[in-house]
Amino acid sequence: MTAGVAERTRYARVQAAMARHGVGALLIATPHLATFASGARRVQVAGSGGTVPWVVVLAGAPSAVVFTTDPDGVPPWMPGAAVEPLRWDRGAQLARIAALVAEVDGTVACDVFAPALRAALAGRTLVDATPLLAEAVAPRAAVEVEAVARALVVARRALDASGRAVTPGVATAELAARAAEHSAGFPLAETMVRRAGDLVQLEVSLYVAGHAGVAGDTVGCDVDVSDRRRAWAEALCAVASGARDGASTGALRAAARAAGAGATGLLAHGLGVGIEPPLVDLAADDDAPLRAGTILVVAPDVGGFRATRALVVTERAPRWIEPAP
Amino acid sequence: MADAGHEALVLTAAGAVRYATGVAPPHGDASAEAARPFAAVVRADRIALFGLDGAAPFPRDATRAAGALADAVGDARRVGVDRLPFALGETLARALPRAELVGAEASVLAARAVKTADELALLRAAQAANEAAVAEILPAIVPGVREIDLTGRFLAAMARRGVTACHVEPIWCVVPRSASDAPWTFPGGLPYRELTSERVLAAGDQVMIDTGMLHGGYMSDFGCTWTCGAAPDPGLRARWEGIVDAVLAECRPGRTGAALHAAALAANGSGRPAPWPVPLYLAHGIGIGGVEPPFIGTDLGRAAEESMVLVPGMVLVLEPYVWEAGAGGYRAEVMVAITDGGYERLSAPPP
Repeated sequence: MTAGVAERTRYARVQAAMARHGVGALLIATPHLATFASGARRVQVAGSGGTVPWVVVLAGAPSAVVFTTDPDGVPPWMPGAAVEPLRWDRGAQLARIAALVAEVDGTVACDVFAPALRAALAGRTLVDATPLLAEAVAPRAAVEVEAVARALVVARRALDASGRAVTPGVATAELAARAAEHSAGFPLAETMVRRAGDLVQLEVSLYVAGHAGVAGDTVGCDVDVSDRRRAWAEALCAVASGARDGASTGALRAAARAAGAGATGLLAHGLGVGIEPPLVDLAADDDAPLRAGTILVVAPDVGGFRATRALVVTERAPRWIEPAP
Repeated sequence: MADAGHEALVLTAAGAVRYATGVAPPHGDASAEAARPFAAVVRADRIALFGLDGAAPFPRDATRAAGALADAVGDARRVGVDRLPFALGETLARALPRAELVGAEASVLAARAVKTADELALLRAAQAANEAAVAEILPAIVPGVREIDLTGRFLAAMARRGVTACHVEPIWCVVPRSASDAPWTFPGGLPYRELTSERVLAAGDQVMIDTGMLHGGYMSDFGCTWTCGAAPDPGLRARWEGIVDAVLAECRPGRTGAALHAAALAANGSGRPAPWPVPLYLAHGIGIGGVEPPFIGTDLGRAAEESMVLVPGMVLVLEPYVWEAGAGGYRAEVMVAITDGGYERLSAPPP
């Protein structure tokens, strides 16, 4: 039931963002964004392309239209007519999308560059869907934060199981295996295991009930890492203390560097139905304001010790949604 | 590229980048890949990498990313492009006003259709690891276990074989026994499920298994159906074997996808729905991607299937599904490589 509430809440935000942007139709080809907007668990099978939208949202419609091979992953509240079989004939798929788009006025927003789609929608104005979707992602509703928090718990449990197996001579494959067998979710990415001398960096990311959880930690292999953990915790707190509504991602980078965090890699990223913006890369110099309601995973790397903690950006101090270090 | 008239390719899909350049991008779903963007530009005389193999990071800013790609594309006039974010694609098009940007599939998929001996060896190895991992898990299919627990155990078994890239959610799910158990089924199709859940297994449940993992850059695709705590229905498996045997009899150079399709329908018997779920397929290709053309049994239709001519080196996964109300269903998968004289099985018989 909770999952259904989260899906409806997300869809309402998508519709609201479309209205603000004057968008009549929203076309989504990126799998996790299609999941975000539609609530469908999986809308694309591997190898079926990626430039043809699998989700169409029409302004004012009660639900998205989903093209899928997996109708068992579609929310039960979606009208049956809104669930269509995926068409392997891309021409037929594009023609069907064009027919749907013809039902509404206004611009058409799309998340991918697709020459064939542009040709199929000749005469309509296409715009980038990214700003609209970014608005729809945040702020997260409480039910979404709870769902991500549950996924974080599962990811942390899997990570801890992996960390307990770190002993001299253990294979990285075994560490990945421990993480897999202690999780009850689907992997979002490969379990990352990096060795740096006596330190082993671990990261697990997975989906639980359609929401993503990420956990990272560094484990000493027969070596005490408490001093390193303390330095990392100081960097974490330095970054987190500046993570509030309206703060710039550049300020987060500056705080991390001042606290001794490494010069490259992802310092922080959003989390929801996948890894999401903002992507705060220490090697980049882009800048964007944080939005209240964003779930942010903060992961400074100090002297080879890297770990993650998740928080929710608010207008004041951040709210941790994982136990403090 | 020469056949497709592509003077340059802008590749962003992990499989395409790996196939064209030999560099392996980190594996992840679309959101993970967006967090670590990468790209390759391929021309006849050079390859440029971004965000990979020690190369400069691929900028997230669309203007800078398009500038980097445009510099690498150079004076190419017809450019095949993979999936690009909207803003990046539009900016790249403006940065290359004399170039025509078209889909990259005509180059990428055509090149991948026929496998070399080395590629076939990698496919065999990936498949063998997958089969061994599933065999390790079958004894755990007992009443009281959740479907999702089987996925976790399977992923652990694969990880212990050095395989951690999971390209598709592993399927360990109970086959519906009646149409009402699968109300989502599309009209005209056989009741089925594709997505693993937290359902607790009971004795007699038919667990459909379908797993694919990336190993050495090539995909495995294992499928079988295993009955929980009871003997399997021999009739369903026999029907499935009859369909597979009929299709295999057509697997040789010169035959077409339409011939395989017709053989499956004939073996299935008249008056029954096609023996595969809608909108899936009787057969698909496999290689560096888990699901590649040709797709046989889809809405692409007979004319398209008649143009799918089998040639030596093509690899197909046959996956018919039989289902009867009350009895349930059976699906397993057979991977074959087309040879000069017929076919070679790359997968073991289903357990």
